[in-house]
Amino acid sequence: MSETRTELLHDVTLRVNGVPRTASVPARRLLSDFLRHDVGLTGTHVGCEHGVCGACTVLVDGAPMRACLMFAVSARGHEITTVEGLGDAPDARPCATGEPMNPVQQAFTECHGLQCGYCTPGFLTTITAYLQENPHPTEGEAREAISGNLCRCTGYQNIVKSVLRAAEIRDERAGNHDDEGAGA
Amino acid sequence: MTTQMFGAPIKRREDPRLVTGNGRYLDDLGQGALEAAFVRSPHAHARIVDIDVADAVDVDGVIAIYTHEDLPGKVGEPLPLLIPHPTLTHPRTGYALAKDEVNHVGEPVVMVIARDRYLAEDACQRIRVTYDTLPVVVGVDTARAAEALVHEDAPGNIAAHMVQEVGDVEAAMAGAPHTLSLDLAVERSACMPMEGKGVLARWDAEDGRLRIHSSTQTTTGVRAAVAAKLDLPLDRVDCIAPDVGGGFGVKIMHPWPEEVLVPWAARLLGHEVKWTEDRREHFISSAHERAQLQEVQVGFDDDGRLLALDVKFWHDNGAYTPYGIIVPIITSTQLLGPYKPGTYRCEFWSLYTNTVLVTPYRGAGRPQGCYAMERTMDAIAAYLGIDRAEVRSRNFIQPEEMPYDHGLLFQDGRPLKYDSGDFPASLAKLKDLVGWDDFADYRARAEAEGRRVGIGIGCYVEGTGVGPYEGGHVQVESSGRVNVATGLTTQGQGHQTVFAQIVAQELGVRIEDVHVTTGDTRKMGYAVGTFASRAAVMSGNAIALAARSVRAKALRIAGEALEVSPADLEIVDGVVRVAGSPSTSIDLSTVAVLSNPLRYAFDDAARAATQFAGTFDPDKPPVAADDEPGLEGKDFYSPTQATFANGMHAAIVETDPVTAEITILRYCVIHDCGKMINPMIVEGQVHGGVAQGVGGALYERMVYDDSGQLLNASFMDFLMPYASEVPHIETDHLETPSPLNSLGLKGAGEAGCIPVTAVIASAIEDAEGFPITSMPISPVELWELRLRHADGVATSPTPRKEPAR
Amino acid sequence: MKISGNATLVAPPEKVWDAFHDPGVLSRCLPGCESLTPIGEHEYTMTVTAGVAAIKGTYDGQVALRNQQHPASFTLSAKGAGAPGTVDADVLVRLAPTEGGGTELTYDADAAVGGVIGGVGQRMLAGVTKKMAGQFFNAVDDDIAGVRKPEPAVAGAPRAGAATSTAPGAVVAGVQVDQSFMRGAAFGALVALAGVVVGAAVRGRR
Repeated sequence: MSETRTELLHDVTLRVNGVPRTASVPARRLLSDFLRHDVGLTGTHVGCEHGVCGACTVLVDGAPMRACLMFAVSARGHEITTVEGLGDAPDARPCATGEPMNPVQQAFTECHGLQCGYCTPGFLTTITAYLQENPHPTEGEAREAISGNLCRCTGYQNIVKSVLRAAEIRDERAGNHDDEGAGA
Repeated sequence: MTTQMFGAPIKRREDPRLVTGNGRYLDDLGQGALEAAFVRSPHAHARIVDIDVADAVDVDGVIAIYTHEDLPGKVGEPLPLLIPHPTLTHPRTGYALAKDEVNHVGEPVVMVIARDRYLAEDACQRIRVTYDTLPVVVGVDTARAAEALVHEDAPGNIAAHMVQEVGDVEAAMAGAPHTLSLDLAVERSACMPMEGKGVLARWDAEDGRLRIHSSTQTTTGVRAAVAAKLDLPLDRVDCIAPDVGGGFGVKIMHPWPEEVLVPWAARLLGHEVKWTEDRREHFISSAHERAQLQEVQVGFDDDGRLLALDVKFWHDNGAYTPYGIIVPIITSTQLLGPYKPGTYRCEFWSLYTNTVLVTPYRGAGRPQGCYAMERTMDAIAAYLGIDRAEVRSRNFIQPEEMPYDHGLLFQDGRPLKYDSGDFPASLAKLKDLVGWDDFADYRARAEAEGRRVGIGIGCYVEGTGVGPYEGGHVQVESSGRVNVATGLTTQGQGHQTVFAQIVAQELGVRIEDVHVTTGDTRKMGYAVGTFASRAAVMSGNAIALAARSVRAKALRIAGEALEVSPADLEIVDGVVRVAGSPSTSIDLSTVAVLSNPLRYAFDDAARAATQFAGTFDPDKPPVAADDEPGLEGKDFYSPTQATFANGMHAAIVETDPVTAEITILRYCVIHDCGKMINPMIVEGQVHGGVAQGVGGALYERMVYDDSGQLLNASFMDFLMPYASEVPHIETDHLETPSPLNSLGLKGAGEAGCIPVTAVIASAIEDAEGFPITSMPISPVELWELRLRHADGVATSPTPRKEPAR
Repeated sequence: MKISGNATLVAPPEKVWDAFHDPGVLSRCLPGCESLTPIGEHEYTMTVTAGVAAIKGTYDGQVALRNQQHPASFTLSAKGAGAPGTVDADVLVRLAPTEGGGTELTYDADAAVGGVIGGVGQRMLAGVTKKMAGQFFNAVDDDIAGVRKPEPAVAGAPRAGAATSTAPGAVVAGVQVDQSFMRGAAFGALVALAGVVVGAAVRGRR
């Protein structure tokens, strides 16, 4: 006769956007669900749960990873950056309506790089990490850099433009890091 | 200083929120809700013999398990047939949970409610359903042959059979100097928004109110359907669309089974219940579209002018027909594009198959119609040896022939009457953009390098802005804030921006002060929905009308307060002032206070209003008999017919001579959607449509096996284009304003995807020199076609008789 | 709602009959039973911790055994209402000898279930009921064979070993949804159908 079993829970502590976060979760809890439901950061979105669309991309120790393909327990002790944390970067500045935005976020708003916004967080984290490695991509390189993330709305034209514009803004802000504005 | 808002490519107001991770999509809501999961049929056609849940009850955290027997009254009756039609003689809809039989893989059979989704799925996996399988019908050919039936009471698997005819096609065909026949095929694809469907429901027992959040394109539709199913008064049900991660048509279909079941369970259990689908569920239980087999027979003269167009097509409508036959009706009417067919006959059969439902997907039947027409135009051109653009232009409806009545009824039941458009001008722009006349040189240079290139063209007309109506409500608060509401919904089209632009323009306020709400039945209870490229035309105009009535009232009140004639007043940046004498002014916020004659000085605006307290006529009541308090206006826009946008695309493709890989080198778009509120947003819509069109032309298809299993129900196997597959899109536009509405708007949402399949087929055909009739096409299929044509097996479009000499 | 089922017991029909008519056996074998008080011939009031899957509550109920056809059949009637639900049930229990000297027990229940537990779905209710019936009959069989469970504690106090978790959970219709209910609650089917009466002892946590 089978009995009800409660799942064994594991304490998971990791730093999300610079803040230590802890929750008790089963081993099979995906990092995407952990972030969204246990930590309450719903900016990371789930589009497919099988690692193809990239909407769930977060930065794990700075590297883009699919949060839907990771377990929360395997992220223990690591540094996670989600879309909510991008505005904490040193080169983030408040936009016209006051929200702090890193160069990639700012570029997306300038270039109409999003429509429904669902895939956007995955692009933002991916491109943020990409520009750290490749600060001056050509258009072809920019297009290739984003060719692991699906978008159904934009047709990618303006996302490519956003990558190039983000590179420009990065340069502008790097040159003016002493100026006014709430640097993170 | 007034900024011209209408027509300006201003940045979107929703973006700061969305790029900082502060969107609120369905699954972001209801964090404490119970969650639902479903046991779905693994068989395409079967009788349900037994459902054994004994092992599922052991799962920790399971609250409830429901089957059809648990559904009371109307909840247990079939889902509604949303759009009946006289030719839909054998409609069928499913049940919210399958009753006795299942008709497609994915049909919901059991609903499990548990503390969270993981546990609910654990329980689902332990539920054993026993089936007796039945013969399966997959694909148009099998449906047509009707050796097995999807529904016993739908003979021939025919849901609908419709014939429309204008003129005597038979006679015209017989008398035509030349005729051709084409057999064409288009395969299934699907909307695939990045966010699937989802429903969150909350029953407030104290107020007796049901609140539903749904990732839908029609909150008024869902509200009405659920209220009817649950026997609740309409005014006790609220439906709100949160941020929606894409729709593209799949979310206009309603009510989905889950949209009925989740609210029902929430009320029964007295607790919030939420359901969000995962990607596999979306593949097997939402909707697909596009699959048709088409036979075209065309009669034409020596110049390539159409004399007779006789089209038959067989439309795969899946297992049920809740959305009626809108898609094939649109195919049959929009097929005509910008041309005069001479005489026209279109006959279609809408057929049942044991596969997922077919409901509109961006284009909603237009891509298939455009495909049939444009392949025909190419065939005529090839046959006569005339330039493909030239043949088309000879058949265009000319600008001076507008408005042009085709003598058919459109999907809204109203005349297919084109209101405006300049097709020759569009074509000229397209040829210029792509360099049509220079292509022969380009091809020669490419061939010298051993490369194989081709150019394709496709033209379409799109009926947009169908009714019956939309509404707009504009209200100015005493703070100066302007609230705007319309009932249709938003899935990325930037409504919070474009509707604010209209109000800023019409009312003369700063756009920063305008706040738009869409898709909330609490704010605007009368609406239809976002589909058919109608939002800008319908809500845009309704909001403009509402804003104008607010402006008129504001000027009247301001005129009384300032003791000047309203005709001398203007409103700039939220200040009402005498034109030419701006120091005589009153803030719009103050006018709002004056409009509501309570006269309590509860804030600064009210205090400022008291200086005007003396300027009233003691013989008149504070609120006139035909007036209302408040600075607000509500109006509705309800046109007599759709307004017709158009566009033309061209593509240059390269096919690899060895591997048959297909690359789009250039993609050019000319579109005409009349006046544009925000050109940046319109262009974004076109880009997205083209990308979906590219997907549909080269990559996307639903692969069902003979037993009705969807073999590619994941993003790994259903190939949607990444950035690497979508070329750089070059656009230019024309504006032939619509004469049917004061803003001159036509819709643009679906424009980008309509001709793409036809254009790519046209270009590949041009590169290869043999007909391309079946789309999408992969490199493997192209390679096989090459072999067949090299062997002389495949044939060109068949001439019916010898050309007259 | 009609639920039918059967079970095979090792003990012979006479012993099974006697066991059902022995309040000591019932109070030991009905899981979650916290007290059982005779109020007449084969009529009892009972307090049990009961529920269906995750919907848990404490119920007071009334149970009576009627229509005795010794040793072949009897009818168990139960009626009650409480925060998690209401039940009104008649269960016809038949005992037939098997070849091996044991008992083939069949039951046919006709029950009206309402309230929150009535809203969990018929198959769930039936599934839980049959499962718990099986557990109850096994417990009776063991008891007859001399494998005894401890006596219940003083009426009203939680029974030792009964599921009493304070783990937080959802509140469904004002009733605490407790994940640990099923643990240790070898709960007789008869009680699931029986014994729910509006009682002050309902520990509804709102």
